Amino acid sequence: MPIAAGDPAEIWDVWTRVITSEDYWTTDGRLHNKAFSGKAFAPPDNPSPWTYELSGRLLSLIEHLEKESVAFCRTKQKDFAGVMYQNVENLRSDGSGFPIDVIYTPYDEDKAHSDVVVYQATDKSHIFAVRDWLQDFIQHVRADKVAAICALRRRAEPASPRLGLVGS
Amino acid sequence: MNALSRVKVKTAGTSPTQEAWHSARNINLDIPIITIVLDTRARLQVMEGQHRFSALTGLLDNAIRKHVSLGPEPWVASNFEQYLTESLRGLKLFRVGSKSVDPFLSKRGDMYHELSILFDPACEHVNNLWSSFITRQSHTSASETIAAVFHSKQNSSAATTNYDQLLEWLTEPKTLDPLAHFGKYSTPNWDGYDAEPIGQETIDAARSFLRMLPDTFGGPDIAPGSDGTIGLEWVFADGPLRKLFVDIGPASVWSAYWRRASGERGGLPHEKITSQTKDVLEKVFKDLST
Repeated sequence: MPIAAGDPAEIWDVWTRVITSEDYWTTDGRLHNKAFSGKAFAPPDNPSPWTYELSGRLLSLIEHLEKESVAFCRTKQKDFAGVMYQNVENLRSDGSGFPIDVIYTPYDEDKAHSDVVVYQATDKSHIFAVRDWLQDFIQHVRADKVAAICALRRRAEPASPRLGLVGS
Repeated sequence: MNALSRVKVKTAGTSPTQEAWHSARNINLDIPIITIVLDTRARLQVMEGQHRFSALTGLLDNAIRKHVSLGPEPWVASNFEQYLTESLRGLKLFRVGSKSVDPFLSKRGDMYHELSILFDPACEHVNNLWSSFITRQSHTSASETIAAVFHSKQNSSAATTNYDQLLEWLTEPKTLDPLAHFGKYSTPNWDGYDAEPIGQETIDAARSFLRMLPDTFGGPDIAPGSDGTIGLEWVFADGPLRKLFVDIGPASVWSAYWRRASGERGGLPHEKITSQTKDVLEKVFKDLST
């Protein structure tokens, strides 16, 4: 059964997000906590059960991760600084002190769109704690290593993609 | 000849291409800066940027007219050192450095070295000036400058305090302005995800904040925030503290979060960055280091 808008993502799927600033990389190769903050990690525009969301995409619905990431950055005239990612199974946790999930939230221009969502986090101290947790748990690769994520998809994804529009 | 004027002058032939210079080595060509240029004949020129900080440039102008001869007479070392140590004492702090001047601004096409003098009398606009200078300084090779200053120190009969300050500054990497390139985040949607611009006030506030940081944990990793803030972070694999996050802005406010090795979390809510912030930081850093 195809995934529908508002559904939790499948546990075998992988949530991804393009990194658009080299300044998010720290001197020792980590991803700075600000990569999980600010307006990108904000209360939802529409009434939702969660209080914060960080937009990204589901790997199972992305045909060519690297090409689409490059195209995204080219369109926006931004750096393609890498991709952050993590298995849905690992993200679906309350390890930060707040329940976190991955919800499928497609729209016309992006059928692969999904959000990492946080429930019950309301004030700045809550968000700091979530950023702390996300920084520890979300993985990341530089732009020239994106193929590593694709390899992860080949191991995790079912034999046939869930949406007809997704090939390979 | 003045000791500091021993900073050597590179000659033509080592000039980068104009394109390379402007694209990679000299980000802010129009920054306000007061510069003494030493040319191959050790003459002095005073160059001023687009803004005139009247009190400071006036002081510098007067000092140069008083102590420095632009004619064939050498620039007397003791006078210049006296100028630095006495005239600038009231300003508490100064920095001197050397860098190459854009050769394409020179009709002769030679490479010059600048001797730039910056002042930091705890004055915001001068602090900005200093930061701009550091930006430029970071694009030059410091080794020759350090060698020249060290040589000058050894051969100077004057008090060495100024040289010590200068050497400390030249050899300490963290004095480079880590926010020099943050101007690129001043436009909306700088991240492609609808980010808020990071305003100059926030950048200036972050610079002030960085100057107040204790050395306890070393320099932070700094990143832009898509809500118009600037984030500092320290992450440790061992020791009593695991993480310390600081958000600065928008504008001149800051907040903090930390997690100790024990798992205990803490933080500070939004506070205005003031002269008291340094005391707060020293207390917090001391507490977190134990």
